[in-house]
Amino acid sequence: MGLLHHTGRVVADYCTGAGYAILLMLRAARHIDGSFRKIPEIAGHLYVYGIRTFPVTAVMGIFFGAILALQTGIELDKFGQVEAIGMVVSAAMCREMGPFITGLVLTATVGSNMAAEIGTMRVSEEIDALEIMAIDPVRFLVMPRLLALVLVCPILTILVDFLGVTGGMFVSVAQLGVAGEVYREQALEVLRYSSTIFDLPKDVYTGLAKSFVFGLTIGTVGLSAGMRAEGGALGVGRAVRRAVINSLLLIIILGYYMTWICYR
Amino acid sequence: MIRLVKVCKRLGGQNILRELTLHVERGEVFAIMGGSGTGKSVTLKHMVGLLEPDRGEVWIDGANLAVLNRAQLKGLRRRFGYLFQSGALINWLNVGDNVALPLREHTRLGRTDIQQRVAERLRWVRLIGDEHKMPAEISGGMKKRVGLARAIVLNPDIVLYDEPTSGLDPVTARAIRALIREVNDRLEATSVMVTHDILDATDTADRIGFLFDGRIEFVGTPAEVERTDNARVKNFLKGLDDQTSVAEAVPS
Ligand SMILES: Nc1ncnc2c1ncn2[C@@H]1O[C@H](COP(=O)(O)OP(=O)(O)OP(=O)(O)O)[C@@H](O)[C@H]1O
Ligand SMILES: [Mg+2]
Repeated sequence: MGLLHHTGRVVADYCTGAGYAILLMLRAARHIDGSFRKIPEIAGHLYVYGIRTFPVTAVMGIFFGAILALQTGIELDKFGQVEAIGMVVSAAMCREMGPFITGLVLTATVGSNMAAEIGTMRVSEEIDALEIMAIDPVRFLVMPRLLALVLVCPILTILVDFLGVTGGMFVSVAQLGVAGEVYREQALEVLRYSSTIFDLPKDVYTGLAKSFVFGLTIGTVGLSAGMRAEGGALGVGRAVRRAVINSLLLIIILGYYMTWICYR
Repeated sequence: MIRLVKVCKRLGGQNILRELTLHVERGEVFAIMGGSGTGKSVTLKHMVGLLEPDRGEVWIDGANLAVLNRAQLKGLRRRFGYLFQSGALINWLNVGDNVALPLREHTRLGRTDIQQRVAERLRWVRLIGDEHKMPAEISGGMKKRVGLARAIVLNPDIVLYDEPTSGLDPVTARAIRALIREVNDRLEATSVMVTHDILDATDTADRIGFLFDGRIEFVGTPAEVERTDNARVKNFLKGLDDQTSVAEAVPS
């Protein structure tokens, strides 16, 4: 009975949390027309979310590409197929790993930061103060942050794609003895091979679609965790943890389903 | 102007307000006194709809808060100024921007007009030259005064103050009391002030209500409060526990 009761509570909590998050996202979307007035503020967020996180994202991207090249290169070599390494790295980065790595980094940096920032404002009554001043916190706080993150995520993803492929190239040339020319040719070939929209290869645009969804997810989860924080500084800590865990889970789950839809 | 009718509120497993009934007249300064943790802040939050009563009604200027929709509530809130107990300054805006925020959001005033108004309100609360400090860099008493400046920057016609003078030195506290009175009279506003300090209440307020056990137990003018023979009020003002009478508590 106790266990059942507890499980029920946890499930109910999750459902209210998810409902709140979705509503928050929709309410933020409704205020999107006010974004022009807030361009300077949004630019500030873009800078923090994009430029400040770039070094971490870049290192992750380069080394992930390198690992990918090394691991698969060793296997491919057994079949005498090591020349194809560029293809493997490029496809893996653009389809999956670019958006995923970007999502991870943004969850850890921006998502947690949003939950902490908004959560602090919630528990110190700043959000109540906004409401009493008849300033809608969704328009004032949520919309600019969410929009900035949604814009940043695809941009960072493209950079990570590129850096990952480059990292793979270093390894391939230096350690696997593949000619740089061949690697580059292979890396581009796999992208050219797929269908395109607006000149973007399918592998790239599905990756971008993913990163767009990831950006929206990370922002919505982080901001709603912050908005729902309660119980002082401890509550803020809980909000941050909840934001990070839920973002990570959603990224991997949504990532799977989007792959399934796009590549079935 | 403000009418709470039999408001009940349960928070954290405790009945905080128990059929609290309270009527604040237009144009007066009403002080709410009561022990720490008795629900004074909770009462104030009910008046702006930050908390909703479990049972009972809150009426503001003839409108029942419970039946207002979002837009109507927003419209009503523009008429309010609210000083939070903690100040509740937006932590990433500096002092000047905090005070300017309502002006930027709700008026079409230009840059210089806003600057002037902000400087004026900061002067009223005796803060000069601190415009560029961040909330984290100023003291608790200063935060409160910035919050006060922000609460009255739009010339509200209902102002709610949660402990406006706590944490201030006697000189500043006195100035703030005078300010509250002046804002009330000059703007023809209605003010409610939550306080621990009997001086706040007797110097500033037209009427004082005492909150004990989740309801307003006694209401009267400062003169009436002074002459009352309500034992709880008398004990409270003398700093005595309800249970112990004066004779027992003071060692002979
Ligand atoms: N959000 C909340 N959740 C649970 N309990 C709460 C909440 N807000 C207030 N309480 C409880 O309600 C009671 C009254 O709180 P309130 O802040 O109104 O006290 P107060 O009279 O303003 O005290 P003080 O003079 O110290 O500010 C306290 O016992 C507090 O624990
Ligand atoms: Mg209080």
